[in-house]
Amino acid sequence: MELSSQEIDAVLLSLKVSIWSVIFSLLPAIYIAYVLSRKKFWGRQALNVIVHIPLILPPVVTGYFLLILFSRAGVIGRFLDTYFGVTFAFHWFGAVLAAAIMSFPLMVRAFRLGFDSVDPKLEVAAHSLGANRFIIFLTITLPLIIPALITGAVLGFAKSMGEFGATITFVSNIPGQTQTIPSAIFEFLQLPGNNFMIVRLVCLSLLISIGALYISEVLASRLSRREQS
Amino acid sequence: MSINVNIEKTMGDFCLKTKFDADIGITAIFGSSGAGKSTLVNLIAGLVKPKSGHIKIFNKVVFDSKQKINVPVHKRGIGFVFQDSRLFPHMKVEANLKYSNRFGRRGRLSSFSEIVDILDLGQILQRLPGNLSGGEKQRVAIGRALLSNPKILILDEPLTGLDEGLRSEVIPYLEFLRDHSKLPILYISHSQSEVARLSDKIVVLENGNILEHGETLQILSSFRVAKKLGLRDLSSFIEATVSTHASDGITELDFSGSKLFLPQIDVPVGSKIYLRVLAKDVTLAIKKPEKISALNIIKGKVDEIVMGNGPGALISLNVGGHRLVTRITQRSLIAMNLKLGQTCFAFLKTVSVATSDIII
Repeated sequence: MELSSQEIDAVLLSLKVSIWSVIFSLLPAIYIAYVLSRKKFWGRQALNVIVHIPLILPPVVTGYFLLILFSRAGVIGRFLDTYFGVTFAFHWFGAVLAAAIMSFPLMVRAFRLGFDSVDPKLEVAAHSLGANRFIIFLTITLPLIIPALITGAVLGFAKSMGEFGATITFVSNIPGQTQTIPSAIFEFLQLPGNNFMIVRLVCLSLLISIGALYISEVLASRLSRREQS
Repeated sequence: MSINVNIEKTMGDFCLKTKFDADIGITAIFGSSGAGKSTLVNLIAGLVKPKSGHIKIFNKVVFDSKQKINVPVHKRGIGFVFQDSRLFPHMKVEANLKYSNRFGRRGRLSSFSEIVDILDLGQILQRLPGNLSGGEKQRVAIGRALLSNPKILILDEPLTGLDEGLRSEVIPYLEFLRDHSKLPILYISHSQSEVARLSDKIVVLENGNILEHGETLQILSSFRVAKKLGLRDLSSFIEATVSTHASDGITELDFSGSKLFLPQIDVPVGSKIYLRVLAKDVTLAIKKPEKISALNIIKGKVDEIVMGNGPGALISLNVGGHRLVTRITQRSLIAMNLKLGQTCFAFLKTVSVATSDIII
Protein backbone atom coordinates (compact mmCIF):
# COMPACT_ATOMS: atom_id res chain seq x y z
CA MET A 1 0.00 0.00 0.00
CA GLU A 2 2.99 2.27 0.46
CA LEU A 3 3.58 4.88 -2.25
CA SER A 4 6.63 4.36 -4.43
CA SER A 5 9.31 7.03 -4.32
CA GLN A 6 8.38 8.05 -7.84
CA GLU A 7 4.80 8.68 -6.75
CA ILE A 8 5.90 10.57 -3.62
CA ASP A 9 8.21 12.72 -5.75
CA ALA A 10 5.39 13.48 -8.19
CA VAL A 11 2.98 14.49 -5.40
CA LEU A 12 5.53 16.66 -3.59
CA LEU A 13 6.66 18.27 -6.84
CA SER A 14 3.07 19.01 -7.84
CA LEU A 15 2.43 20.69 -4.48
CA LYS A 16 5.69 22.65 -4.67
CA VAL A 17 5.09 23.76 -8.25
CA SER A 18 1.50 24.78 -7.56
CA ILE A 19 2.29 26.75 -4.42
CA TRP A 20 5.15 28.65 -6.08
CA SER A 21 3.04 29.22 -9.16
CA VAL A 22 0.35 30.93 -7.05
CA ILE A 23 2.93 32.92 -5.09
CA PHE A 24 4.60 34.24 -8.24
CA SER A 25 1.32 35.05 -10.01
CA LEU A 26 -0.39 36.69 -7.04
CA LEU A 27 0.93 40.26 -7.16
CA PRO A 28 1.04 40.63 -10.97
CA ALA A 29 -2.46 39.15 -11.23
CA ILE A 30 -3.80 41.56 -8.57
CA TYR A 31 -2.19 44.47 -10.37
CA ILE A 32 -3.45 43.49 -13.85
CA ALA A 33 -6.95 42.77 -12.50
CA TYR A 34 -7.05 46.17 -10.77
CA VAL A 35 -5.91 47.96 -13.89
CA LEU A 36 -8.43 46.11 -16.08
CA SER A 37 -11.25 46.79 -13.62
CA ARG A 38 -10.58 50.43 -12.77
CA LYS A 39 -8.49 52.17 -15.39
CA LYS A 40 -9.57 53.30 -18.81
CA PHE A 41 -6.56 53.50 -21.07
CA TRP A 42 -5.53 52.93 -24.66
CA GLY A 43 -4.73 49.27 -25.25
CA ARG A 44 -6.88 48.00 -22.37
CA GLN A 45 -8.64 45.47 -24.61
CA ALA A 46 -5.30 44.35 -26.03
CA LEU A 47 -3.97 43.72 -22.53
CA ASN A 48 -7.14 41.81 -21.72
CA VAL A 49 -6.68 39.56 -24.76
CA ILE A 50 -2.98 38.95 -24.06
CA VAL A 51 -3.74 37.91 -20.48
CA HIS A 52 -6.37 35.46 -21.68
CA ILE A 53 -4.31 33.87 -24.48
CA PRO A 54 -3.13 30.89 -22.37
CA LEU A 55 -6.78 30.10 -21.65
CA ILE A 56 -7.74 29.73 -25.30
CA LEU A 57 -4.53 28.35 -26.84
CA PRO A 58 -3.94 24.58 -26.83
CA PRO A 59 -1.62 24.06 -23.82
CA VAL A 60 0.90 22.37 -26.12
CA VAL A 61 1.15 25.56 -28.15
CA THR A 62 1.74 27.60 -24.99
CA GLY A 63 4.43 25.06 -24.03
CA TYR A 64 5.98 25.45 -27.45
CA PHE A 65 6.13 29.25 -27.07
CA LEU A 66 7.72 28.82 -23.65
CA LEU A 67 10.28 26.52 -25.23
CA ILE A 68 11.12 29.07 -27.89
CA LEU A 69 11.41 31.93 -25.41
CA PHE A 70 12.81 30.32 -22.27
CA SER A 71 14.91 27.36 -23.35
CA ARG A 72 18.65 27.89 -23.11
CA ALA A 73 18.70 28.78 -26.83
CA GLY A 74 15.61 30.99 -26.55
CA VAL A 75 15.68 34.77 -26.49
CA ILE A 76 14.87 35.27 -22.82
CA GLY A 77 16.31 31.93 -21.69
CA ARG A 78 19.74 32.74 -23.04
CA PHE A 79 19.77 36.11 -21.33
CA LEU A 80 18.71 34.64 -17.98
CA ASP A 81 21.24 31.82 -18.30
CA THR A 82 24.14 34.13 -19.18
CA TYR A 83 23.54 36.82 -16.59
CA PHE A 84 21.76 35.05 -13.76
CA GLY A 85 22.58 31.40 -14.32
CA VAL A 86 18.89 30.54 -14.24
CA THR A 87 17.73 27.72 -16.48
CA PHE A 88 14.18 26.60 -16.97
CA ALA A 89 14.52 23.68 -19.33
CA PHE A 90 14.13 20.30 -17.60
CA HIS A 91 14.05 22.03 -14.25
CA TRP A 92 11.18 22.38 -11.79
CA PHE A 93 11.43 26.19 -12.19
CA GLY A 94 10.24 25.57 -15.71
CA ALA A 95 7.21 23.67 -14.42
CA VAL A 96 6.44 26.60 -12.11
CA LEU A 97 6.68 29.03 -15.04
CA ALA A 98 4.39 26.88 -17.20
CA ALA A 99 1.84 26.45 -14.39
CA ALA A 100 1.94 30.16 -13.52
CA ILE A 101 1.31 31.23 -17.09
CA MET A 102 -1.52 28.74 -17.54
CA SER A 103 -3.27 29.70 -14.31
CA PHE A 104 -2.69 33.46 -14.63
CA PRO A 105 -5.86 34.22 -16.65
CA LEU A 106 -8.03 32.32 -14.15
CA MET A 107 -6.61 34.27 -11.23
CA VAL A 108 -6.94 37.60 -13.05
CA ARG A 109 -10.58 36.84 -13.86
CA ALA A 110 -11.43 35.98 -10.26
CA PHE A 111 -9.64 39.05 -8.85
CA ARG A 112 -11.21 41.29 -11.45
CA LEU A 113 -14.70 40.18 -10.46
CA GLY A 114 -13.73 41.11 -6.91
CA PHE A 115 -12.53 44.58 -7.89
CA ASP A 116 -15.66 45.10 -10.00
CA SER A 117 -17.80 44.41 -6.95
CA VAL A 118 -16.12 47.05 -4.78
CA ASP A 119 -18.03 50.32 -5.03
CA PRO A 120 -15.56 53.01 -6.18
CA LYS A 121 -17.66 55.45 -4.12
CA LEU A 122 -16.11 53.95 -0.98
CA GLU A 123 -12.69 54.84 -2.37
CA VAL A 124 -13.92 58.38 -3.00
CA ALA A 125 -15.08 58.54 0.63
CA ALA A 126 -11.66 57.41 1.86
CA HIS A 127 -10.07 59.97 -0.44
CA SER A 128 -12.17 62.72 1.13
CA LEU A 129 -10.90 61.64 4.55
CA GLY A 130 -7.40 62.42 3.39
CA ALA A 131 -6.04 59.01 2.38
CA ASN A 132 -3.94 58.73 -0.77
CA ARG A 133 -4.58 56.18 -3.52
CA PHE A 134 -2.07 53.62 -2.34
CA ILE A 135 -3.36 53.68 1.24
CA ILE A 136 -6.94 53.46 -0.03
CA PHE A 137 -6.00 50.39 -2.05
CA LEU A 138 -4.42 48.72 1.00
CA THR A 139 -7.08 49.66 3.55
CA ILE A 140 -10.34 49.63 1.58
CA THR A 141 -10.10 47.91 -1.79
CA LEU A 142 -7.88 44.96 -0.94
CA PRO A 143 -9.62 43.91 2.30
CA LEU A 144 -12.97 44.03 0.51
CA ILE A 145 -11.84 41.60 -2.17
CA ILE A 146 -10.33 38.99 0.17
CA PRO A 147 -13.03 36.42 -0.76
CA ALA A 148 -12.18 36.94 -4.43
CA LEU A 149 -8.46 36.69 -3.60
CA ILE A 150 -9.05 33.32 -1.92
CA THR A 151 -11.17 32.05 -4.81
CA GLY A 152 -8.60 33.19 -7.37
CA ALA A 153 -5.67 31.69 -5.47
CA VAL A 154 -7.46 28.34 -5.09
CA LEU A 155 -8.40 28.32 -8.76
CA GLY A 156 -4.78 29.07 -9.65
CA PHE A 157 -3.57 26.34 -7.31
CA ALA A 158 -5.98 23.78 -8.76
CA LYS A 159 -5.14 24.75 -12.33
CA SER A 160 -1.41 24.42 -11.53
CA MET A 161 -1.99 21.00 -9.95
CA GLY A 162 -3.68 19.86 -13.12
CA GLU A 163 -1.40 21.51 -15.66
CA PHE A 164 -0.08 18.95 -18.12
CA GLY A 165 0.23 20.02 -21.77
CA ALA A 166 2.40 23.10 -21.44
CA THR A 167 4.52 21.51 -18.69
CA ILE A 168 5.34 18.32 -20.54
CA THR A 169 6.08 20.27 -23.75
CA PHE A 170 8.32 22.75 -21.99
CA VAL A 171 10.16 20.74 -19.33
CA SER A 172 9.44 17.16 -20.39
CA ASN A 173 8.60 14.36 -17.97
CA ILE A 174 11.59 13.47 -15.86
CA PRO A 175 10.78 11.54 -12.65
CA GLY A 176 12.04 13.42 -9.57
CA GLN A 177 12.70 16.63 -11.52
CA THR A 178 9.78 17.70 -13.65
CA GLN A 179 7.32 14.87 -13.23
CA THR A 180 4.11 16.18 -11.64
CA ILE A 181 1.04 14.08 -10.80
CA PRO A 182 -0.53 14.41 -14.27
CA SER A 183 2.74 13.58 -16.04
CA ALA A 184 3.23 10.59 -13.76
CA ILE A 185 -0.27 9.32 -14.53
CA PHE A 186 0.49 9.83 -18.20
CA GLU A 187 3.70 7.79 -17.92
CA PHE A 188 2.02 4.96 -16.03
CA LEU A 189 -0.71 4.89 -18.68
CA GLN A 190 1.91 4.17 -21.35
CA LEU A 191 2.86 0.83 -19.78
CA PRO A 192 0.61 -2.11 -18.92
CA GLY A 193 0.07 -3.25 -15.30
CA ASN A 194 0.11 0.15 -13.56
CA ASN A 195 -3.60 0.43 -12.96
CA PHE A 196 -3.24 0.38 -9.18
CA MET A 197 -0.74 3.25 -9.15
CA ILE A 198 -2.88 5.24 -11.56
CA VAL A 199 -5.95 4.93 -9.35
CA ARG A 200 -3.91 5.89 -6.31
CA LEU A 201 -2.58 9.07 -7.98
CA VAL A 202 -6.01 9.94 -9.32
CA CYS A 203 -7.45 9.63 -5.81
CA LEU A 204 -4.65 11.73 -4.32
CA SER A 205 -5.13 14.46 -6.86
CA LEU A 206 -8.87 14.43 -6.20
CA LEU A 207 -8.20 14.67 -2.47
CA ILE A 208 -5.85 17.63 -2.81
CA SER A 209 -8.19 19.56 -5.12
CA ILE A 210 -11.28 18.95 -3.01
CA GLY A 211 -9.31 19.80 0.14
CA ALA A 212 -8.16 23.12 -1.33
CA LEU A 213 -11.69 23.98 -2.41
CA TYR A 214 -13.06 23.08 1.02
CA ILE A 215 -10.54 25.23 2.85
CA SER A 216 -11.28 28.17 0.58
CA GLU A 217 -15.03 27.81 1.14
CA VAL A 218 -14.57 27.70 4.91
CA LEU A 219 -12.35 30.80 4.85
CA ALA A 220 -14.74 32.70 2.60
CA SER A 221 -17.82 31.90 4.67
CA ARG A 222 -16.03 32.76 7.90
CA LEU A 223 -15.11 36.12 6.43
CA SER A 224 -18.59 36.89 5.22
CA ARG A 225 -20.02 35.88 8.59
CA ARG A 226 -17.61 38.26 10.29
CA GLU A 227 -18.85 41.07 8.09
CA GLN A 228 -22.47 40.43 8.92
CA SER A 229 -22.19 39.99 12.64
CA MET B 1 -15.43 84.80 3.73
CA SER B 2 -14.38 81.25 4.51
CA ILE B 3 -15.34 79.76 1.16
CA ASN B 4 -15.00 81.67 -2.05
CA VAL B 5 -16.08 80.00 -5.27
CA ASN B 6 -16.07 81.28 -8.83
CA ILE B 7 -16.00 78.42 -11.31
CA GLU B 8 -17.17 77.23 -14.68
CA LYS B 9 -17.59 73.71 -15.93
CA THR B 10 -19.12 72.20 -19.05
CA MET B 11 -20.26 68.60 -19.14
CA GLY B 12 -21.90 67.70 -22.44
CA ASP B 13 -24.88 70.04 -22.86
CA PHE B 14 -24.79 71.06 -19.23
CA CYS B 15 -22.97 74.21 -18.30
CA LEU B 16 -22.34 75.22 -14.71
CA LYS B 17 -21.31 78.75 -13.89
CA THR B 18 -21.36 79.84 -10.27
CA LYS B 19 -19.92 82.50 -8.07
CA PHE B 20 -20.70 82.68 -4.37
CA ASP B 21 -19.24 83.00 -0.89
CA ALA B 22 -20.10 81.06 2.20
CA ASP B 23 -19.23 81.54 5.84
CA ILE B 24 -19.40 79.72 9.15
CA GLY B 25 -22.84 78.15 9.61
CA ILE B 26 -24.94 76.23 7.14
CA THR B 27 -25.23 77.45 3.59
CA ALA B 28 -27.81 75.46 1.67
CA ILE B 29 -27.19 74.57 -1.97
CA PHE B 30 -30.75 74.24 -3.11
CA GLY B 31 -32.39 73.28 -6.39
CA SER B 32 -34.33 70.60 -8.19
CA SER B 33 -32.57 67.48 -9.43
CA GLY B 34 -30.37 68.22 -12.40
CA ALA B 35 -29.80 71.80 -11.28
CA GLY B 36 -26.13 71.06 -10.73
CA LYS B 37 -25.98 70.80 -6.95
CA SER B 38 -23.89 67.64 -6.84
CA THR B 39 -21.67 68.82 -9.67
CA LEU B 40 -21.01 72.02 -7.75
CA VAL B 41 -19.93 70.29 -4.55
CA ASN B 42 -17.90 67.71 -6.47
CA LEU B 43 -16.03 70.60 -8.08
CA ILE B 44 -15.42 72.20 -4.69
CA ALA B 45 -14.26 68.91 -3.16
CA GLY B 46 -11.91 68.29 -6.07
CA LEU B 47 -13.66 65.17 -7.32
CA VAL B 48 -14.24 66.89 -10.66
CA LYS B 49 -11.95 69.51 -12.19
CA PRO B 50 -13.49 72.85 -13.19
CA LYS B 51 -12.82 74.26 -16.65
CA SER B 52 -11.85 77.65 -15.27
CA GLY B 53 -12.09 79.86 -12.23
CA HIS B 54 -10.89 79.62 -8.67
CA ILE B 55 -11.85 78.12 -5.31
CA LYS B 56 -10.55 79.46 -2.02
CA ILE B 57 -11.02 77.84 1.36
CA PHE B 58 -10.04 80.09 4.26
CA ASN B 59 -7.86 82.16 1.94
CA LYS B 60 -5.99 79.10 0.74
CA VAL B 61 -6.34 78.68 -3.00
CA VAL B 62 -7.24 75.04 -3.70
CA PHE B 63 -8.03 75.60 -7.35
CA ASP B 64 -7.02 78.29 -9.78
CA SER B 65 -7.03 77.72 -13.52
CA LYS B 66 -4.79 80.72 -14.24
CA GLN B 67 -2.13 79.83 -11.68
CA LYS B 68 -2.53 76.15 -12.55
CA ILE B 69 -3.28 75.20 -8.95
CA ASN B 70 -5.36 72.07 -8.37
CA VAL B 71 -4.99 70.64 -4.86
CA PRO B 72 -5.96 66.92 -4.87
CA VAL B 73 -9.06 65.75 -2.98
CA HIS B 74 -7.23 64.29 0.00
CA LYS B 75 -5.31 67.49 0.68
CA ARG B 76 -8.22 69.93 0.44
CA GLY B 77 -9.38 69.37 4.00
CA ILE B 78 -13.02 68.94 3.10
CA GLY B 79 -15.16 66.62 5.19
CA PHE B 80 -17.79 65.01 2.99
CA VAL B 81 -20.99 63.32 4.14
CA PHE B 82 -22.61 61.46 1.28
CA GLN B 83 -26.27 60.69 0.75
CA ASP B 84 -25.48 56.96 0.83
CA SER B 85 -23.23 57.39 3.91
CA ARG B 86 -20.48 55.20 2.36
CA LEU B 87 -19.26 53.64 5.58
CA PHE B 88 -16.52 51.07 5.07
CA PRO B 89 -18.40 47.77 5.35
CA HIS B 90 -15.42 45.75 6.63
CA MET B 91 -14.66 48.09 9.53
CA LYS B 92 -16.50 48.51 12.79
CA VAL B 93 -18.01 51.90 13.56
CA GLU B 94 -15.02 52.78 15.74
CA ALA B 95 -12.56 51.99 12.93
CA ASN B 96 -14.66 54.00 10.50
CA LEU B 97 -14.53 56.96 12.86
CA LYS B 98 -10.78 56.63 13.32
CA TYR B 99 -10.01 56.04 9.63
CA SER B 100 -8.81 59.55 8.97
CA ASN B 101 -6.59 59.53 12.03
CA ARG B 102 -4.97 56.27 11.02
CA PHE B 103 -4.76 56.54 7.26
CA GLY B 104 -5.83 60.00 6.20
CA ARG B 105 -5.42 63.57 7.29
CA ARG B 106 -4.37 62.54 10.79
CA GLY B 107 -7.44 64.15 12.28
CA ARG B 108 -7.00 64.78 15.99
CA LEU B 109 -8.49 62.11 18.19
CA SER B 110 -8.63 64.43 21.21
CA SER B 111 -12.20 65.16 20.24
CA PHE B 112 -13.07 61.49 19.69
CA SER B 113 -15.02 60.87 22.89
CA GLU B 114 -16.65 64.28 22.63
CA ILE B 115 -17.94 63.59 19.12
CA VAL B 116 -19.02 60.07 20.08
CA ASP B 117 -21.02 61.66 22.90
CA ILE B 118 -22.56 64.41 20.80
CA LEU B 119 -23.63 62.03 18.05
CA ASP B 120 -24.65 59.37 20.56
CA LEU B 121 -22.49 56.65 19.04
CA GLY B 122 -21.23 55.03 22.24
CA GLN B 123 -23.58 52.06 22.00
CA ILE B 124 -22.72 51.16 18.43
CA LEU B 125 -18.93 51.58 18.33
CA GLN B 126 -18.34 47.83 18.05
CA ARG B 127 -20.98 47.20 15.40
CA LEU B 128 -20.38 46.77 11.67
CA PRO B 129 -22.12 49.23 9.33
CA GLY B 130 -24.14 46.39 7.77
CA ASN B 131 -26.48 46.25 10.73
CA LEU B 132 -27.00 49.90 11.50
CA SER B 133 -30.20 51.79 10.74
CA GLY B 134 -30.15 54.52 8.10
CA GLY B 135 -30.11 57.22 10.74
CA GLU B 136 -27.28 55.60 12.67
CA LYS B 137 -25.26 55.27 9.46
CA GLN B 138 -25.62 58.96 8.75
CA ARG B 139 -24.61 59.87 12.29
CA VAL B 140 -21.48 57.75 11.95
CA ALA B 141 -20.76 59.33 8.57
CA ILE B 142 -21.08 62.79 10.12
CA GLY B 143 -18.78 61.79 12.97
CA ARG B 144 -16.24 60.30 10.58
CA ALA B 145 -16.17 63.49 8.53
CA LEU B 146 -15.85 65.65 11.67
CA LEU B 147 -12.97 63.55 12.99
CA SER B 148 -11.03 64.06 9.78
CA ASN B 149 -10.19 67.54 11.03
CA PRO B 150 -11.89 69.31 8.13
CA LYS B 151 -11.74 73.00 7.36
CA ILE B 152 -15.19 72.86 5.84
CA LEU B 153 -17.95 70.27 5.72
CA ILE B 154 -20.06 69.26 2.74
CA LEU B 155 -23.30 67.40 3.42
CA ASP B 156 -24.72 65.98 0.19
CA GLU B 157 -28.42 65.31 0.79
CA PRO B 158 -27.70 63.51 4.08
CA LEU B 159 -31.40 63.06 4.86
CA THR B 160 -32.65 62.02 1.45
CA GLY B 161 -33.43 58.32 1.54
CA LEU B 162 -34.29 58.37 5.23
CA ASP B 163 -37.94 58.12 6.18
CA GLU B 164 -39.70 60.79 8.22
CA GLY B 165 -38.90 59.21 11.59
CA LEU B 166 -35.19 58.72 10.93
CA ARG B 167 -34.98 62.20 9.49
CA SER B 168 -36.18 63.81 12.69
CA GLU B 169 -33.69 61.58 14.53
CA VAL B 170 -30.75 63.04 12.59
CA ILE B 171 -31.84 66.68 12.28
CA PRO B 172 -31.08 67.69 15.92
CA TYR B 173 -27.48 66.52 15.43
CA LEU B 174 -27.15 68.65 12.33
CA GLU B 175 -28.49 71.63 14.25
CA PHE B 176 -26.01 71.01 17.03
CA LEU B 177 -23.27 70.90 14.45
CA ARG B 178 -24.42 74.17 12.92
CA ASP B 179 -24.57 75.93 16.27
CA HIS B 180 -21.39 74.59 17.86
CA SER B 181 -18.87 73.40 15.30
CA LYS B 182 -17.77 76.81 13.96
CA LEU B 183 -17.33 75.16 10.57
CA PRO B 184 -18.61 76.46 7.27
CA ILE B 185 -21.05 73.81 6.10
CA LEU B 186 -22.43 73.41 2.59
CA TYR B 187 -25.72 71.56 2.79
CA ILE B 188 -27.09 70.16 -0.47
CA SER B 189 -30.82 69.55 -0.55
CA HIS B 190 -33.93 69.73 -2.65
CA SER B 191 -36.28 69.87 0.33
CA GLN B 192 -37.64 73.29 1.23
CA SER B 193 -38.53 72.25 4.78
CA GLU B 194 -35.06 70.88 5.51
CA VAL B 195 -33.34 73.90 4.12
CA ALA B 196 -35.69 76.27 5.94
CA ARG B 197 -35.02 74.58 9.22
CA LEU B 198 -31.28 74.10 8.97
CA SER B 199 -29.69 76.81 6.89
CA ASP B 200 -29.06 80.49 7.44
CA LYS B 201 -27.97 81.26 3.92
CA ILE B 202 -29.05 79.70 0.66
CA VAL B 203 -27.76 79.40 -2.88
CA VAL B 204 -30.56 78.50 -5.28
CA LEU B 205 -29.30 76.73 -8.37
CA GLU B 206 -31.10 76.31 -11.64
CA ASN B 207 -29.61 74.77 -14.78
CA GLY B 208 -26.12 75.32 -13.43
CA ASN B 209 -26.66 79.00 -12.67
CA ILE B 210 -27.27 80.76 -9.39
CA LEU B 211 -30.84 82.01 -9.31
CA GLU B 212 -30.67 83.61 -5.88
CA HIS B 213 -28.22 83.85 -3.04
CA GLY B 214 -29.01 85.22 0.40
CA GLU B 215 -31.06 84.69 3.59
CA THR B 216 -32.85 81.36 3.42
CA LEU B 217 -36.31 82.23 4.69
CA GLN B 218 -36.57 85.36 2.59
CA ILE B 219 -35.38 83.66 -0.57
CA LEU B 220 -37.63 80.62 -0.21
CA SER B 221 -40.69 82.85 -0.08
CA SER B 222 -39.47 85.25 -2.76
CA PHE B 223 -41.70 85.40 -5.81
CA ARG B 224 -38.78 85.29 -8.22
CA VAL B 225 -37.66 81.91 -6.88
CA ALA B 226 -41.24 80.67 -6.60
CA LYS B 227 -41.91 81.41 -10.24
CA LYS B 228 -38.97 79.17 -11.17
CA LEU B 229 -39.61 76.40 -8.68
CA GLY B 230 -43.34 76.24 -9.28
CA LEU B 231 -46.02 78.30 -7.58
CA ARG B 232 -47.78 75.29 -6.18
CA ASP B 233 -45.10 74.92 -3.50
CA LEU B 234 -44.78 78.62 -2.73
CA SER B 235 -44.71 78.86 1.06
CA SER B 236 -43.86 81.12 3.93
CA PHE B 237 -41.68 79.73 6.66
CA ILE B 238 -42.48 81.25 9.98
CA GLU B 239 -40.82 80.78 13.32
CA ALA B 240 -43.21 80.49 16.23
CA THR B 241 -42.85 79.82 19.96
CA VAL B 242 -45.04 77.34 21.79
CA SER B 243 -46.91 79.22 24.52
CA THR B 244 -49.64 76.90 25.85
CA HIS B 245 -50.99 73.42 25.45
CA ALA B 246 -54.72 73.98 25.94
CA SER B 247 -56.95 71.30 27.45
CA ASP B 248 -59.07 71.04 24.31
CA GLY B 249 -56.11 69.57 22.40
CA ILE B 250 -55.01 72.80 20.76
CA THR B 251 -51.46 74.10 21.02
CA GLU B 252 -51.10 77.87 21.09
CA LEU B 253 -48.13 79.55 19.52
CA ASP B 254 -46.75 83.08 19.44
CA PHE B 255 -45.79 84.47 16.09
CA SER B 256 -44.70 88.11 15.95
CA GLY B 257 -47.35 89.23 18.39
CA SER B 258 -50.11 87.18 16.80
CA LYS B 259 -51.48 83.94 18.18
CA LEU B 260 -51.55 80.73 16.20
CA PHE B 261 -53.58 77.66 17.09
CA LEU B 262 -52.60 74.20 15.95
CA PRO B 263 -53.72 70.68 16.81
CA GLN B 264 -51.61 69.29 19.66
CA ILE B 265 -47.86 69.38 18.89
CA ASP B 266 -45.65 67.30 21.12
CA VAL B 267 -43.01 69.82 22.11
CA PRO B 268 -42.44 71.56 25.44
CA VAL B 269 -43.76 75.06 26.10
CA GLY B 270 -41.16 77.65 25.15
CA SER B 271 -39.62 75.73 22.26
CA LYS B 272 -39.35 77.29 18.85
CA ILE B 273 -40.77 75.58 15.82
CA TYR B 274 -40.91 76.42 12.17
CA LEU B 275 -44.15 76.23 10.28
CA ARG B 276 -44.45 75.97 6.57
CA VAL B 277 -47.57 77.72 5.36
CA LEU B 278 -48.49 77.09 1.75
CA ALA B 279 -49.44 80.30 -0.05
CA LYS B 280 -52.61 78.75 -1.44
CA ASP B 281 -53.84 77.98 2.09
CA VAL B 282 -53.83 81.63 3.11
CA THR B 283 -56.95 83.74 2.57
CA LEU B 284 -56.96 87.54 2.78
CA ALA B 285 -59.54 89.95 4.18
CA ILE B 286 -59.54 93.73 4.48
CA LYS B 287 -61.43 93.73 7.78
CA LYS B 288 -60.91 91.38 10.66
CA PRO B 289 -63.37 88.59 9.93
CA GLU B 290 -65.76 87.69 12.72
CA LYS B 291 -67.62 84.54 13.52
CA ILE B 292 -65.69 82.34 11.15
CA SER B 293 -64.34 78.89 11.90
CA ALA B 294 -60.73 79.72 11.06
CA LEU B 295 -58.79 80.27 14.29
CA ASN B 296 -55.59 81.64 12.90
CA ILE B 297 -55.95 85.27 11.94
CA ILE B 298 -52.81 87.29 11.42
CA LYS B 299 -52.59 91.02 10.86
CA GLY B 300 -50.02 92.36 8.40
CA LYS B 301 -49.14 95.02 5.84
CA VAL B 302 -49.05 94.38 2.10
CA ASP B 303 -45.45 94.87 1.02
CA GLU B 304 -45.33 93.21 -2.40
CA ILE B 305 -47.82 92.57 -5.16
CA VAL B 306 -46.85 90.62 -8.26
CA MET B 307 -49.23 89.96 -11.12
CA GLY B 308 -49.03 86.51 -12.65
CA ASN B 309 -49.29 85.74 -16.33
CA GLY B 310 -52.54 83.88 -15.76
CA PRO B 311 -55.44 84.92 -13.55
CA GLY B 312 -53.43 84.84 -10.32
CA ALA B 313 -51.54 87.37 -8.25
CA LEU B 314 -48.97 86.97 -5.49
CA ILE B 315 -49.25 89.06 -2.37
CA SER B 316 -46.76 89.32 0.46
CA LEU B 317 -47.65 90.59 3.90
CA ASN B 318 -45.19 91.97 6.37
CA VAL B 319 -46.01 90.52 9.78
CA GLY B 320 -43.74 92.13 12.32
CA GLY B 321 -40.76 91.89 9.98
CA HIS B 322 -41.65 88.40 8.78
CA ARG B 323 -42.94 87.53 5.37
CA LEU B 324 -46.25 85.77 4.79
CA VAL B 325 -47.08 85.06 1.18
CA THR B 326 -50.36 84.21 -0.45
CA ARG B 327 -51.84 83.58 -3.86
CA ILE B 328 -55.17 85.09 -4.84
CA THR B 329 -56.88 85.81 -8.15
CA GLN B 330 -56.41 89.14 -9.85
CA ARG B 331 -60.16 89.47 -9.76
CA SER B 332 -60.17 89.40 -5.93
CA LEU B 333 -57.24 91.78 -5.91
CA ILE B 334 -59.23 94.33 -7.88
CA ALA B 335 -62.43 93.69 -5.93
CA MET B 336 -60.62 94.20 -2.63
CA ASN B 337 -58.73 97.17 -4.01
CA LEU B 338 -55.53 96.01 -2.31
CA LYS B 339 -52.66 98.50 -2.30
CA LEU B 340 -49.09 98.40 -1.09
CA GLY B 341 -48.85 99.42 2.54
CA GLN B 342 -52.46 98.52 3.26
CA THR B 343 -53.22 96.65 6.46
CA CYS B 344 -55.15 93.43 6.04
CA PHE B 345 -55.84 90.13 7.72
CA ALA B 346 -54.64 86.75 6.62
CA PHE B 347 -56.33 83.66 7.92
CA LEU B 348 -55.64 80.00 7.66
CA LYS B 349 -57.71 77.13 8.89
CA THR B 350 -56.15 75.19 11.73
CA VAL B 351 -56.16 71.99 9.73
CA SER B 352 -54.57 73.58 6.71
CA VAL B 353 -51.23 73.50 8.49
CA ALA B 354 -50.32 69.91 7.81
CA THR B 355 -48.32 68.19 10.49
CA SER B 356 -45.64 67.19 7.99
CA ASP B 357 -45.02 70.89 7.45
CA ILE B 358 -44.30 71.47 11.08
CA ILE B 359 -40.57 71.40 11.26
CA ILE B 360 -39.88 70.68 14.87
